[in-house]
Amino acid sequence: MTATLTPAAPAAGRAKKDSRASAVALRMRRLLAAIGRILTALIPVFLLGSLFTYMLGAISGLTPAYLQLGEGATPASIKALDQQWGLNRPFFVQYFSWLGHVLTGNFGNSWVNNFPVSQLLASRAIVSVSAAGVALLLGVVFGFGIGALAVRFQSTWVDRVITVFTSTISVLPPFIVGIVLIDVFAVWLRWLPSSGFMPLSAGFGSWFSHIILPAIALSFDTIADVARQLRVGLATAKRQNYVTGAVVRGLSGRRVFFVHVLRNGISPAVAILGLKFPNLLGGAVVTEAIFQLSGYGQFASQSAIKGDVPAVQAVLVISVLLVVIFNLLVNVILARLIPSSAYRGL
Amino acid sequence: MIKNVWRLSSGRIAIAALSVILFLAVFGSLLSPHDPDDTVGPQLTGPSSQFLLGTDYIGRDVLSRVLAGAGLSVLGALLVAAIALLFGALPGVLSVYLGRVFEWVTLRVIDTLIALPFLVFAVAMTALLGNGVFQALFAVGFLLAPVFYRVSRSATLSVANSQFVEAAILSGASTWWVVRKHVWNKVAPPIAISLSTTIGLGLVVIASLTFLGIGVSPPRATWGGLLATDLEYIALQPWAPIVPIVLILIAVLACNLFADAVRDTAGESGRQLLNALAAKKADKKAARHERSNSPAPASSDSANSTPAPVVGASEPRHPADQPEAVLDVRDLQIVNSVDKAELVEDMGFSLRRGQTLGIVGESGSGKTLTICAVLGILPKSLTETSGTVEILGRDTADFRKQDWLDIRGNSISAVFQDPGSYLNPSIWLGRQVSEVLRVKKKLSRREAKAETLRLFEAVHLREPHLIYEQYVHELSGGMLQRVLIAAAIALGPDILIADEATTALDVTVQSEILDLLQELQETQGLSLVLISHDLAVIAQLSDEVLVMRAGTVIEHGPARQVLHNPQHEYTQLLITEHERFGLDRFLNSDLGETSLV
Repeated sequence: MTATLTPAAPAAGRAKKDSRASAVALRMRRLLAAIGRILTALIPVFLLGSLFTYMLGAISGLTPAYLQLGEGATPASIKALDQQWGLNRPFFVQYFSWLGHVLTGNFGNSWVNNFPVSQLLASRAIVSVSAAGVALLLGVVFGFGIGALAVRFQSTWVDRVITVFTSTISVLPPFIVGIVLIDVFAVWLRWLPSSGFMPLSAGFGSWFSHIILPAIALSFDTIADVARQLRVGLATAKRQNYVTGAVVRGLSGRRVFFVHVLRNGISPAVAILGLKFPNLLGGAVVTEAIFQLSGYGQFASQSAIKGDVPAVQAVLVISVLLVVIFNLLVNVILARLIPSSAYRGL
Repeated sequence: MIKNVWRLSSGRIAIAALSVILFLAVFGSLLSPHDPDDTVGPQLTGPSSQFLLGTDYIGRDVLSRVLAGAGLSVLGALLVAAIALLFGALPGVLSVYLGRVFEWVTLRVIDTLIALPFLVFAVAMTALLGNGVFQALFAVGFLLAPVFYRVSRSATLSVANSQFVEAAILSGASTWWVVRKHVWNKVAPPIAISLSTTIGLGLVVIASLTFLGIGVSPPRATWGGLLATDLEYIALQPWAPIVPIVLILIAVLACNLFADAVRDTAGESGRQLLNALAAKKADKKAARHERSNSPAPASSDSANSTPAPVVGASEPRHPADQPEAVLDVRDLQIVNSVDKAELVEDMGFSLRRGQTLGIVGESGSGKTLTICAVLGILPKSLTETSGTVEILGRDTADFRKQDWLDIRGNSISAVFQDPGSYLNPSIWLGRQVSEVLRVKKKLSRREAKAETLRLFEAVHLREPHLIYEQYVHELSGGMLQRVLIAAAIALGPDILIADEATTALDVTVQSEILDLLQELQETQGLSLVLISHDLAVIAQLSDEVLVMRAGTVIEHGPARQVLHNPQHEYTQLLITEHERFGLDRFLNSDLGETSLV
């Protein structure tokens, strides 16, 4: 991507035309390079993640026979069932056929009741998306807010209090925070319901009161990391020479901050969001159990205990896909914010 | 390492807390007052002398269950960390030695493992592989391995690439000694930090799994399992979760505190190294100092080594045939407000319109601080204690923010060494120039772009349209300096300060930039302040030369006089050294023409 162009000096008129054309070529080259960089980072993650997911089912040794036939299974009936589910084919044939179906939105049927997994998951998705989405929102709003406060009052007591606060909440595990929140807000203060879920159609207040505690429990880690990255990022950006450069050119403090400092200073905080997103999804398993939300996390652990391999694989591969899509978004934002950096990946 | 950690009070607290937790884990079941799995009393009673923490829903003693649960919860975390270390460190070390393919594959696998939603995979892996304690430890350890892969890989890389290990072995030290003395000190702290945070994390994950009833079947006591039953009866016994929660938090916080303490003490040895390096540098500096002082006794005519009277500054001038002063600095004094060190004293000069003042001196002599004071950008820890700076006849002492905004860019501007760092890496170069024109000259976007392209041509950048859309990392240093100059002269300032603007560029580019400055001075009527440690740069353009050393002016006068008839021994030294290392680097320099006289 480094293109130091040293053209031979052509006639002045032609040079102008050429330089316009090469500017367009430069833009195209940059765009392609950015897309290439992002895809080469994300595609292997998706492929390896899905391969790992599928292998997990294969090495578990579980078969539908184990769930459907019970004690009275004969070798012949097991073989027939395996054939029916296509489990007698070579591993990679099975994997690629499964992957192909996954990419077209077909996640196979449950071994327990033969229902399409996609149907079983669809109704639960809204619960998990609500919790993770609100948690992400809390992480962004409070993370950026607290981080900005720390930078604004850098090396005062405010900054120190925030540093202690963020390093404490970053090590509090979501399931402990969840139990404490229930104890305080549901049992002791009786302000909020301790469990269950209401769809948004039942009214915003009802939906929000059920989702806020799980979301808070999930968000602590993200709040802490976003705040810390923002603080360090902005403090570092403020010290850069290009800030002095902009000041010397006569730009106002406000303009220097918003145009030159902010852009480079927030990129670490944006990058950390991409890294924290898997935790928000993963944390759902525990927070949904604590708050008795029947989301996809609960579905995953219940299916796993039952040994319903296609259902577990569906949840896992969807979570990998969500991580990849979210990081695609983060990478695109970062590529726009700091085009010079070679930032890529997860 | 442990000794260093023990020296910190936070380290002592962490070690003490960890010892207590470990003691509970190993001997907890021996301390149980009752059988943890047996019904020994009434259901759901509060704390009493017989049952210190009360009983649970089938009348089991809670204290006994907490103590019995410590074993699996804590030892499980230790095992998880050990498994993670094994799974991570082995490929991490091998990735450095086993060739590109192995390296690429393991790196992709690690990237993927990090991206996986951790808990969902831990639950799925444990349950699908057989849902037992062993499976849980294996799954969690496997998923936590990336940390150790990265740590051990970077440690191996740094050791493999370090010449001191090679040198130590070549010089006949035993391999064991080298490993103990050099490798271990480098590798141990990061691994200890990761181990300790992983133990904390492992404890939480094991508790989460057992909370979900995964990996361990119900009657067996674990902290996570206890919390799950506590949650079921939370309306009846809201205080019940407190003890397991407090124990888990103590363990996790102690692990993180320990990691921080290791990090701090490892940083300490890093600081010691830095201090040692700084001391070495100071020695070198002192040596150079001596060297520069040594000619003093030899040259008998220059009287003493204290700053000589400033030559030339007090020379009578004829104001009538001199253009007006655009920049006037008098008796400037800059003091470090923390340690009260005087960094610049009695600095003074006056720059006339269209003229060039060269300021020369070694680094640390106060050249750049003077410029910072002139531009009003002194760091907060430094203060201008006396003296005046007048720009175009306006005293900057009573400047407010708005005055500075009016004067910077419009009347005075500056370019610096390492031009790339003075331009924003994330914004098109052209936009950074047109930004100034739009904000300060209120030009429209289109006008500003057209003007920027004109400026790029004026500083002899070929392909202005292309460069308009390029970023810092896409251009060479010489081209960036031209862009920086274009940004500096965009508003047509009267004064341009070039602070080491050609340093670190290669010689032909240096000379091109100096030519450009000279050309701009002629076409735009700029007054230049040229700062350099390099006499040849100063010689090419300056009308007046000022020599600084240790914060004071030691010689000041017309260029010809200072360069050809230096009065102060330090200036003489600068010039003789220059002659030794090739004086006429710039063929068309004024000095080149006249030095033969």
